[in-house]
Amino acid sequence: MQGKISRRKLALYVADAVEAKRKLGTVLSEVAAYLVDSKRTREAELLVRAIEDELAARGIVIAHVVTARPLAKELEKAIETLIGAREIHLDADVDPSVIGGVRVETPGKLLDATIKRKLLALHQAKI
Amino acid sequence: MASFIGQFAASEGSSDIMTGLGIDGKLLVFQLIAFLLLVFVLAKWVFPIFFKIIDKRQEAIEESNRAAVEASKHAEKAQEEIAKLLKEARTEAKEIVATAKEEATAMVQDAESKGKAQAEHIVAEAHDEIAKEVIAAKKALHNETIDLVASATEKVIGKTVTEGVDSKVIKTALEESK
Repeated sequence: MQGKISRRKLALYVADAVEAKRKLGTVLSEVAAYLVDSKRTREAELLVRAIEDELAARGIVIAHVVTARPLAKELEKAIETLIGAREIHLDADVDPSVIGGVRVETPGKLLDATIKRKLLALHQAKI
Repeated sequence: MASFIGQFAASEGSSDIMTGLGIDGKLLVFQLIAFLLLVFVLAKWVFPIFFKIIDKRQEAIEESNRAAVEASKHAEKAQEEIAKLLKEARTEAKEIVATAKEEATAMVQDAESKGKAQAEHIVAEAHDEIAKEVIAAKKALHNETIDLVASATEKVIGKTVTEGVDSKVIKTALEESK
């Protein structure tokens, strides 16, 4: 029986595939099949983070952006400039509950400038 | 009376005076011997007994006198002793009273100082309690204000944030985080 492949190795495999411009769908299907086969589907989220970390280390940053309204191109550019990586992929999400502002999350960094967070901070300022 | 005078007158005439006086010589001698015998007997056997009794009585009286003097001396001594004891007792009583007064004064002062300290402690505790309550009230007011402000802001901003305002907010945040 084959031994357990570590998350780090799986992340390296996917990052290599991304860099090699291989068909991403196929690579991800392989990894997903492996996780299902090895009954490690619970690690999917952690594996995604590991892949993002590995890609970020290679200059490919996947940024999760949350705003109350769809991002304008101008703002997308501004966010990319702020991240300043070789290759940036924005995973934009619209969530009206944040009221306003922006939340940008990249591997190892988080910028939460939403109005919701500021209001939460105000709530937490209670003594 | 007349016979006696007559007899006397008759004796004047006789030569024997003894007879004239009506004294019988023989009887006188006899009486004298009897008297001397009586004196001898008394001196020999009776008087010594009396003298002994008298001496004893005298000794007893002298003894009594000495005892009385002794008793008097003892009484004087006892009196002096009593006076001395009384004096000492008075002095001691005065000392006891003075000491009791001092102790009472000290106790009163001690009680006063304790009472004062306790009162001060109670006042200080009350001050602390009030200060704590004030702080708690301030905190509660602060928290309530924050809640109100946050809720109001959330409601107002939710309606007033337009796309343009949101863009400005995002730009400012991105600029600030550079």
